[in-house]
Amino acid sequence: MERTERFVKELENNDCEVHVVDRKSLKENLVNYIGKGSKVFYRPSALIKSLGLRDIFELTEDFHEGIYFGLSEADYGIVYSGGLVELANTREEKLPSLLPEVHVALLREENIVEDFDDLFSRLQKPLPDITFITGPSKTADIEKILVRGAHGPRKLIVFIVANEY
Amino acid sequence: MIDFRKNADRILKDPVVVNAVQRATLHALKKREETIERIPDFEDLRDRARLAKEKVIGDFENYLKLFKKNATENGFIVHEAGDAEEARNLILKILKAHGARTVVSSKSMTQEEIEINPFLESHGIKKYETDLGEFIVQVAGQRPSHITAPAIHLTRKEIARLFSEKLGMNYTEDPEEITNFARNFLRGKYFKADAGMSGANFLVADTGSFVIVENEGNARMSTTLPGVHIVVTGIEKLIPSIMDLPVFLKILAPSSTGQRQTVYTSIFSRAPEGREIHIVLIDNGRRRMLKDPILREALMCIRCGGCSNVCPIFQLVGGHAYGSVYSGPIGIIWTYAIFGHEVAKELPFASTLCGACREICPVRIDIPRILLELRRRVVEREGGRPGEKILINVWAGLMTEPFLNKIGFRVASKVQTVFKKGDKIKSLPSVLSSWTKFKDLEPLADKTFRELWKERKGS
Ligand code: SF4
Repeated sequence: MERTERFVKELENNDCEVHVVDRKSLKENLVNYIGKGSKVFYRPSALIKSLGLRDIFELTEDFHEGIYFGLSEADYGIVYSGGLVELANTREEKLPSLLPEVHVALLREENIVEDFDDLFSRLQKPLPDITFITGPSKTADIEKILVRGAHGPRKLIVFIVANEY
Repeated sequence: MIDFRKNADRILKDPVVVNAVQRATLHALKKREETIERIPDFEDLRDRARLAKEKVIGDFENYLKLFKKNATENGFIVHEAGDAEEARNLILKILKAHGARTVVSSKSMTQEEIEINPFLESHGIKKYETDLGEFIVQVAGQRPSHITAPAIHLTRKEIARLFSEKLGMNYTEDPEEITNFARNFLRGKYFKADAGMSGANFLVADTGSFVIVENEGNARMSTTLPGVHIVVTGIEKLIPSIMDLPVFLKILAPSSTGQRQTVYTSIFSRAPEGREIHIVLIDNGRRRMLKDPILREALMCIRCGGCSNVCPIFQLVGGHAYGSVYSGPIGIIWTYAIFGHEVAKELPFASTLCGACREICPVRIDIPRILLELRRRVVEREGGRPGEKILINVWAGLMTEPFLNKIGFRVASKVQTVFKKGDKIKSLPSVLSSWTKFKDLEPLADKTFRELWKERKGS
């Protein structure tokens, strides 16, 4: 899909690693990337639950220092900014994309929208908390030199799960 | 009184700072230009942002009321503080109610404006700045020198020495390792802090939301991890609707750091059960600005820092010369409006009125016009001598005739030559006498800022 291609390009501009995969190979991709037996701090979603990751990773909803991978499903992707959108009703839901060293985000292709307006017009009051994430955490506060992982993830990997036709 | 000339003289003796400021500002401008090239409707977005801000300024109390109502319905606890002292006491009361001893905080100009840190310290509450640049400046016991690059005046060597002496870091000059040290140091604080504080970039009237943009993730941490969150923000941050937010998000980062968007944008619209989120709305002179037909326009500022980056004076001396939390062209106006005539009466003259700030301002604030008016007020209050009045009038004449703007500075430079030779110059309130010291100050030279800017980009 043309929109997806543009989205991938914007994400890459924003320093993200992007893979477009189909639903069937998603699990295998995650296992290859994260590694069997790894501890993963995650935010449950229907998609993530359906993958049956419990027997492969040590999944937890409680963070402690030393957990390397965070896993979450983004609710939307926005082409304009080349970023992900996470909706949250609790503060715990915000943490898997924030605390670990590497954030692995899943995004269903059908949830890619063009612009901010497309997102806001879909949301209903009362609004959830909304976080836009466009790339890994960054700073350039020392002599303007770019450093990734200022406080949050040093890396952002996005797996776009392609639509099935 | 803030002595701009003295501050500037001191800074100009430090080539490292002068160099760093110049590099930082020009870098941001270059990135801005590259980014805007990819936003074809940027000018239109600026108009729309301006319009949204005009709506708020035109019907301020109603928008504020709407925000308070919606924010309260969202579960936020909304407070209002008339001045800095009231704000400090309010914040202290909230912190005390939670037995807070340590606080983590993300960047907030408004917090600096009300000088909350020393106040909390004197009540035994330690507040850590968590934005890396702000953290460095805090450890150094200094003030930020640039709105988006607070520690730009310090070299990596200085930061390395600072961290190893004061925080026990194993000495390294590698920015990545220094950042990592700060990351780990502050990680420990986030999880243990009793409260988190932040500012807000926008307050959304029709949803009662507040919005924070950042790159590092420290604001997300400070607002999410501790048990209570206090937002400290000026009442001017209002925008009418969540549907206006995209426009502001599209102009803010490009005008500021030159990014298309910042890494993180957090929109808060609910207080989760069992968790207190306080919003402290601060007036501290803003309603006074609102009632002032000339100053009210400055309330539209979204604090992108663009006008500082493009200002030939700022590029030369950086933020410290302004002696205030608010620096650069718009900072002069804010400092005068918030801290008053006696403190800020020299500052309106720390400008060449070249108009670059007005050109870059994403909400099209006519900064030179306001500066000119402030000069008029200063001269009036200080009882300027005839020579000064003439000069001010010359400037006024130049600046209010738009068609003269382009050639204005050549004219101005001629005016300068005339006055330089006369003895009246000695009594001028720094308007030209200081500029004659800055030999390489460009816009008063024979070329306009635009011409110089084009040349500089070409080289
Ligand atoms: S006055 Fe305009 S350019 Fe300057 S900081 Fe404010 S919004 Fe940005």
